[in-house]
Amino acid sequence: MIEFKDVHFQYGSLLVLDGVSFHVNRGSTKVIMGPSGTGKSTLLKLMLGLLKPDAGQVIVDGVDVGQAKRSEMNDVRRKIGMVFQDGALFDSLTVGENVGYSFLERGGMPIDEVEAKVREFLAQVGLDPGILDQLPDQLSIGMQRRVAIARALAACNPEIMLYDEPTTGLDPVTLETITDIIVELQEKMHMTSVVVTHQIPDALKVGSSFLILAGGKVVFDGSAEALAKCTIPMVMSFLEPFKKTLRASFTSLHSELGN
Amino acid sequence: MFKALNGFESRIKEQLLGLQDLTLFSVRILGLSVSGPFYVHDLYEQLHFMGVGSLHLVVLSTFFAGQGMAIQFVRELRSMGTEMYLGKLMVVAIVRALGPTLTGIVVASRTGAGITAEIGSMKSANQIDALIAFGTDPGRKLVVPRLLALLVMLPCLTLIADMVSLFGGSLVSVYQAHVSAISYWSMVRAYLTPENITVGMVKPVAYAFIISIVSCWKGFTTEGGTRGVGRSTTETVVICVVSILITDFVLTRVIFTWLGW
Ligand SMILES: Nc1ncnc2c1ncn2[C@@H]1O[C@H](COP(=O)(O)OP(=O)(O)OP(=O)(O)O)[C@@H](O)[C@H]1O
Ligand SMILES: [Mg+2]
Repeated sequence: MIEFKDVHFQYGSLLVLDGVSFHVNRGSTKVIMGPSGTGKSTLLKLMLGLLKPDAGQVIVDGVDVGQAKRSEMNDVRRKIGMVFQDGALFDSLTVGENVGYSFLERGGMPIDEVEAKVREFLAQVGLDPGILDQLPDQLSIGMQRRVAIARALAACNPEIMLYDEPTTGLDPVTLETITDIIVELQEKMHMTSVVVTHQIPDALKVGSSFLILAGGKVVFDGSAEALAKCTIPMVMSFLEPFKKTLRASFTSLHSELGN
Repeated sequence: MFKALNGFESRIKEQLLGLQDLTLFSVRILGLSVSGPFYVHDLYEQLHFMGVGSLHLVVLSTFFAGQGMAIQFVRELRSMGTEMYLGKLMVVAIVRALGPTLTGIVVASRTGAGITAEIGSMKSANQIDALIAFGTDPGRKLVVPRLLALLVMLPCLTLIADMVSLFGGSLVSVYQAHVSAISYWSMVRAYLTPENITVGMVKPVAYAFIISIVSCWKGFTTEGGTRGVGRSTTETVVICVVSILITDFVLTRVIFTWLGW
């Protein structure tokens, strides 16, 4: 569904991606981890065609994003829902207009129908539909994040969801809700997802395969099992603080599977 | 020495590349603004923001600018005993020159700065990327409504500015030059010829292009967070004001040649 072939990318003279290759299968969830500033957000922006690779190819649903024409690219984008790292809500629009953006943008849907849809999506991410008429500025960061997820979900039944750190800075309950949403979407709608996160426990819950990016290169790409056994120093030092949870969740996973 | 020269060279290169981008950007926007679909709601909002929002500033500044100009004229005219020509001079000075340019500068510093700040903030909050991700063309959604609104509103504001300045002139005429309002306005009417009005109304159209294209482009190319937004906003005002003054000169030359004056 999504494929990176030896992708190089730099901002001006700053080399961010130095030959990155991986693929995300249809219906699977890829978790991307890595230290801050290694280019995880950049990776997602490349998938959306917001940035073009300097070398190599980014292929999304059979379309080479780097070469695609504007109209082709728009067709691809229509299949993708994106949750930006900082939410990127349109701050001149109300919460309702934000969530309903893709319906309003395409037009043709009566306004009360849009509102009903918006209420539905807000409820889905555990938000009170009463905030419909508020501006994003009036919400807490966690609420903004959830609105951003609702907005991405509302984007014309996306086939692919990209989440940029959807759970960072959230309370445990909300965090759980959001992780559940991601899992549910994947199970019910067989959505392909890419999740960037630092929260290893959630990562294990949502991910079917894991990728660790460091220094512009992929240092690990594989299953959770392989991750737990991985002996690459870079990966181990990155996972060190989480080793316990990692092992614990493995034992529980295994015992669950065993039963 | 070489290092300094190198820096200079790369700066020039950067400026030229910027100019090339700006040109491509203008061409693209012009293309978008003559073919739909249009964001009518956004256009309406911009018309309101630019027209109603700038009206008081334009009225206030041109009311006093008109009087200031009239006071100067009266002194010179009185020395020759030709105060009754104040109306004529006012039409030439205001309708042909000061009205459009002053309005352009006022609108550039209010609306132009506002546009850059808004789009620049959207850029640094990833909202532009979000628009694109939703399949919205930011050029269509953000730039075209602003360009069209300004193309309508700047000429309107200029007309109002002309009226207000001429009215300011009439006050000076009555109270300082002791020329009756009736003879002042009949002099004004006699010189409000189609040519004079054309000269005055071509300019705001050109200024509307300059202000909207430059301010949107500066917004889109904003980098570096809030400080970057501040920097691009200042640059917008500077570039717009200087370009307006240069365009004023060039257009005046061209139109005068065209009219055979
Ligand atoms: N617009 C930009 N211009 C120049 N450099 C940039 C830009 N955006 C990001 N960078 C740089 O590129 C590198 C990768 O950025 P990116 O946002 O992809 O990191 P990240 O892995 O998402 O980090 P985080 O975990 O903190 O979100 C960083 O060093 C950053 O400084
Ligand atoms: Mg990031």
